[in-house]
Parts: sequence; structure tokens; C-alpha cells
Amino acid sequence: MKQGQILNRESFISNISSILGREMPKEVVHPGLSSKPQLEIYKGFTQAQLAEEFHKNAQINKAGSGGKIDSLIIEKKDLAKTVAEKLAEHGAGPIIAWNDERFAEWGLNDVLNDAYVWTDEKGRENVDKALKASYGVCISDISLAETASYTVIDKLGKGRSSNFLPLNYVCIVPQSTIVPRLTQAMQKLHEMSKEGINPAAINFICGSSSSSDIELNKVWGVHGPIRLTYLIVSDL
Amino acid sequence: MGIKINDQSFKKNLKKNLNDDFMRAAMVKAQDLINKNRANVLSQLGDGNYQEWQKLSGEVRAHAIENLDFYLNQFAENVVKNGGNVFFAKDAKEASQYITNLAIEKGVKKVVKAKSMVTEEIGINHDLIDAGVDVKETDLAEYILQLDDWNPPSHMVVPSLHLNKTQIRDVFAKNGYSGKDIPEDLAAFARAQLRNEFVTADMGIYGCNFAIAESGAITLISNEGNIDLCTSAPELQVAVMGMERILATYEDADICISLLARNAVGAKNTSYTTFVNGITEEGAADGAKEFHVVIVDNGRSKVLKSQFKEVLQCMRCAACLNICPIYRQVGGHSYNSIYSGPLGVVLTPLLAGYDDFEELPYMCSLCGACTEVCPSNIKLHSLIHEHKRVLAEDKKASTFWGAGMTGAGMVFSRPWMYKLGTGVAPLMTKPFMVDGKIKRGVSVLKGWTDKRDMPALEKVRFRDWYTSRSKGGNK
Ligand code: SF4
Repeated sequence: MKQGQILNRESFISNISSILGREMPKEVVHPGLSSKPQLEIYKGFTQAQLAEEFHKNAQINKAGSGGKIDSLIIEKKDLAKTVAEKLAEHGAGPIIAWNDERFAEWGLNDVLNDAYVWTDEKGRENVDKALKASYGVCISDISLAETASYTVIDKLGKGRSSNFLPLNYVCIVPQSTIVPRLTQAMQKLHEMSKEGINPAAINFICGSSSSSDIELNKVWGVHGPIRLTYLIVSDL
Repeated sequence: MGIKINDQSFKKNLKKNLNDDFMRAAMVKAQDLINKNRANVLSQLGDGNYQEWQKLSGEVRAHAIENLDFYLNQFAENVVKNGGNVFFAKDAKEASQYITNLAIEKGVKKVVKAKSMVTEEIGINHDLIDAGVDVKETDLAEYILQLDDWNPPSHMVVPSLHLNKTQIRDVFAKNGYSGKDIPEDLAAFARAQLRNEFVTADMGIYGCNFAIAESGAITLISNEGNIDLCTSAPELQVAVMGMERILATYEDADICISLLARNAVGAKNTSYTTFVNGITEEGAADGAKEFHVVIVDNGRSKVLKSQFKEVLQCMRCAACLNICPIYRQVGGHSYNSIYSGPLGVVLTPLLAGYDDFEELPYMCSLCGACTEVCPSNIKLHSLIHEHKRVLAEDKKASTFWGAGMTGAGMVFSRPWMYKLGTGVAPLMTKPFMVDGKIKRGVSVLKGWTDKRDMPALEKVRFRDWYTSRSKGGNK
């Protein structure tokens, strides 16, 4: 099959246009939202206040998850020590980390010494390593205070599977990446898109894998991660 | 499967479900729990003015539907810019055939699927299985239903709500499970069975909560993470979307996403909100190397043409199911459609025709609760009323409603007949009375007395009593 194809477009679209009683417009001007309540949420908060809100909401998620989610506000100088503690908390096991130079910059080389580093050139071997990993270590690209969500924007070296397969996660949340809510993340994606940058995947994550499909009982780790710890770093 | 879930008569389905005590209790529990949580999270959304958000969401959905041709075209162009392919399918058959042919052409042996209403609607599973492809539903509920011989879903958000944990244990036991009916253990069994499937599948198929025209992104919202695994490992990926799922911009998506989980499950957010924009970067070890979006009409353009077009704004949150007093009593399977509750009442006859679903519009008391909650600002109860009008005017109404209501209409519109009728009614209903109650009515009364008793009619008519009282009588 030829790639980059759009099949049956003409008949499909012209049918819709004729139902709408006109030709397909060349341009549509979006009328804009009649009000913007979303901009009022945490309006004017400083980064430190947003970090507090992120942490507060993570604690609410923690309560709802029976302790499967955790969050700490720390300083960069304590990062290596805290990551080491968290990587041992639920027993030893294989670790997978991104191929990301920030780990070295932030003094995590020793802690991640034994970790498997996602190496795209190795192909599917990476996926097998992720499947067997007890721990994944990641860094939030955009962090949403309202829901305590971290975001992973797809890029070589990060490995999509490494973000969903390990049992436990330690996510480093630089305070500087925290925005009030999804609104600001969408503004960023809009700006990127205008420049022609549409990353293959953007994942907003605010919890562990869970389901209530059996008599509405919440169970954790149905497919992917069971535990998630946010380390909010106040001076990053 | 298609839209219709079985070939039994409406009455037979209803009777079966009304006798299912577990299922009925489960509906009540789900409604109460989700509604309590929903009210709580909505009160915390901004300044708690839900109506303002509801209005906005209605606006952005209506704008997208009014300009559907433009935005679908823009979306398709962007999918291609992101390295993907787009197939516009006019019906279920075309959509399913395209995906099945793709699987055959690429030598696909195993597909991992994430829950999606539209893939149910186009019946893709059975076509793939007929083509020799191993299909694994990965959403926990859908996995249970697949193992239970493709038991149909009964709720849009919690599809296996009608099964209790012992029934689920029995289903799993047939597939190698030897544990107890403990939800954690059952989920752990599913996890052990499914984890490896994601990384060994050749193809991932998933639905689409919203499609963003400005970038070509498919937005997926879930709690289990199975969708993310379907979008991560398989090299060949297919997203299937109803054509109405489009939104113009990321800003519009913000409004709708902010309302979806809150209304669906009473949570601020689901664990995972994902945007997929086509194929991965060259050289990436996982992610889609080939990406297809199938955009499905399957009757939606007929809806667009009709007075029911507003229903295309639906974001499938199930809030209307969760508030509906009828759904609470009868459960999802009674609608005999993959789309149940008030949304199903409106949508099913439009997509699948009145012939099989003429009773559905009467599964509504017109209380309006669904309209009040709907985050897409759809006036559901008015649309249901409109269905009733169409059925009545086209004389398509069922025997009960048709004959009964025609008779009633004739009587009520003729004063002499009404006077005579109400005068003799106490006498006429005497044969149906037991212990002072009417228990077995006929015609208009039958629909009522099938389910509950009716008090005996007074011997003196209200009008006569009132006239007598006005003249100073005391009767
Ligand atoms: S009709 Fe409204 S309330 Fe019902 S599922 Fe659709 S969006 Fe939700």
C-alpha cells in the first residue's frame, strides 16, 4: 500500500457539504469561546504555589489510590538520594531509564548505574527490557497542577514502552515545568503545531493503571504501572 | 457485532433484564456512586459553575459539527503530514473491510484492541477472526466479555457492569484461572494473560475520543493504560473514529477533556490522556511505523441531515445513562443496542432504523435529567420527544402505542365520547379488578398494569364532583 494516502475523501466530504447546504468553505474562522473560565484556575500563582497545588492534588490522588501514588517536594541537592530510596522502596529489580543527559546533569549517574538505558538502535530489545523492568525513571515535560499530571512528549531515546510497562515509576517533576492545568499544555501544543511540530505521542499521566470493571471495585496495575512517585524538585 | 446486540424481541429482552436482580442492583450502585463523585468534582471545577463549561462545550462541539466537512478535511491533511493514512468509510462494511484487508496484506497474526464503541459498531472483531487473525480485547471489561463468548457490553464506560465477580471468576476458570472471586486476583490474572500480548501484537486498533483538526491528533482517554500500550508497541496501528468526533483546536479539546472524565466516572481526570499524531520519528525502537485513521459515517450523515443533528455533539461520557431513572431499572442490555440509556434512545433508531428499535423512544419518562447533565449540551429529552412525534405521525408507533394512543386521542378530542367513556369507565374496568385494584388492564391501561397495579376508578367523576361541590353539595 502506498503511504500517505487519503482514500474516498471527495465523495465523503462533498456529501457532508451538500447536507450542510453549501460547498466546503476554504476557510473557517473559529468564533472563539464565549467565556474562558479555564484561564481563571490558579491564575497568577507563582511557580512555588503551583508546586504546592500539584503536591496537594497528588496527595488527593494518593488517598484515592490507597497509597499507590506518592509525591514529595525536594531540592535538587537531595534528588539523587531520594531517587535511590524510591528505587529500592518496593524491592530490588531491573530499572529502565531514558537516554537523557539531564540525569547526568542532575547527579543521577551513580543511582542509575545499573539501569538499562533505552537505546533505539537496539530495536525491540528495548521493549523486552521495559516489559521486565520493576522501575522506570522519567522526567515530566509539562506538569499540570490541577490534576497532578506529568507529561511525556515522545522523542528518540525516551521509548514509549518504557513509559507504560515497568511496575513502578519515579517521575521527576521540575517545578519550572508546572502550569495550572491542561489549558496551558494545550496552548503549548497549539503553538508547536503552528510551527509544524506534532510529536508522535503526547501522554498526560496522573496515576497508575487502574480499573473498576469488576463490580466497581477499584483495582490497580491492570496492565501497566502499579505505583507512581512524583519528585517535585523546587529548584529545577 | 454491529449496533444491535441480539435478535430477541424488545419485550423478551426487557423481561429477561427485569428479572436479573444482580444486574439491576449493579445499575443502582453504579449510578449512585458515579453521580455522587460527579457532583463532587464538578463543584470543584473552577468556580463550580458547571453550566458555563457545559455551554462552552456545547459551543465547540456544535461549531465542529456545523463545519464538519472543513474540519474533517483539515484533519485528514494533517494526519498525512504526520505520516499517516486516512480512509473515509461510508458504512460499517467498508470500514471493517479496509482494516481486515490491511491486516491480511501485512500478514498480521495478532491484534491488540482497546475499547471503542465504533469498532463494536462496525463489527471488526468477527471479520478479523474470520480472516484468521487472533484478536485480543485488552480493556479489562472487554477482555471479560470476549472470554464470555462475546457477551455484549451493557454500559458505555463500565461495559461488564451486568456481570458479578463470581460470574467473572467462572468465565476466567474456563480459561485457566483457579483462584477465588476476588477482584484484585481476577485483575491480576487478566494482567498476566495480557501483558505479553501488547508487545507481541502486530497491530494495535483503538478508537478516538476526540480528533483535533489543527494537528491531526487522535485523543484517547482511559484509566487502564491499555490504550497507551496499544499505541506504544505495535508497529502497525489503526485508529477508528466516528466522523463526528472532530474538534477544531487544542483549545476546544481542553474544554471537552475537562468535562469528559468528570462526567463519565466522577474523577477530575483519568490516569491517561493521550494524543497520537501519526508515526514515530525515524529510528525509534517502538511506536507506530505505519498509522491509519478510519473515519466512519455509517449513518451519521443521515443524522446530520435531520432534526436530530445535535446528537452528533455527544462525547460518549455516559452521564445521561448514569442519571436516567429508566436505565436504572432496566439496565443496558434492555436497549438491545451497543448505545444504551438516553443517548442510545436518540442515536440507535437513527443509525439502525426504526424497524428494529421503534420501542426505544418509549424507554423515557421525559424527566429531562439527561439534558440537565449532558456535558455536550444536547437537549436529549427534546430529541426523544421528537422521536415519539415522528413515530406517531408516521403511524409507525408500536401496536400498543399506535392503537392505544389513537383510541385515546379519539376519545379525548370528542367531548361526548369523553363524557360517556369516563362515565362508564368504573363499570368497564370492573372485570380487571382484584382486591380493589386494576391488575390486568387492556389497551392504554395495559402498559401501566403490566408493571404495577392501578387504583380503582372512582364511581363519581371529578368534573361531576366539582360541579356538585361548586353548587354547595358535599359529595
Ligand atoms: S448524550 Fe451527553 S450525557 Fe449522554 S453520553 Fe453523550 S455527551 Fe454524555
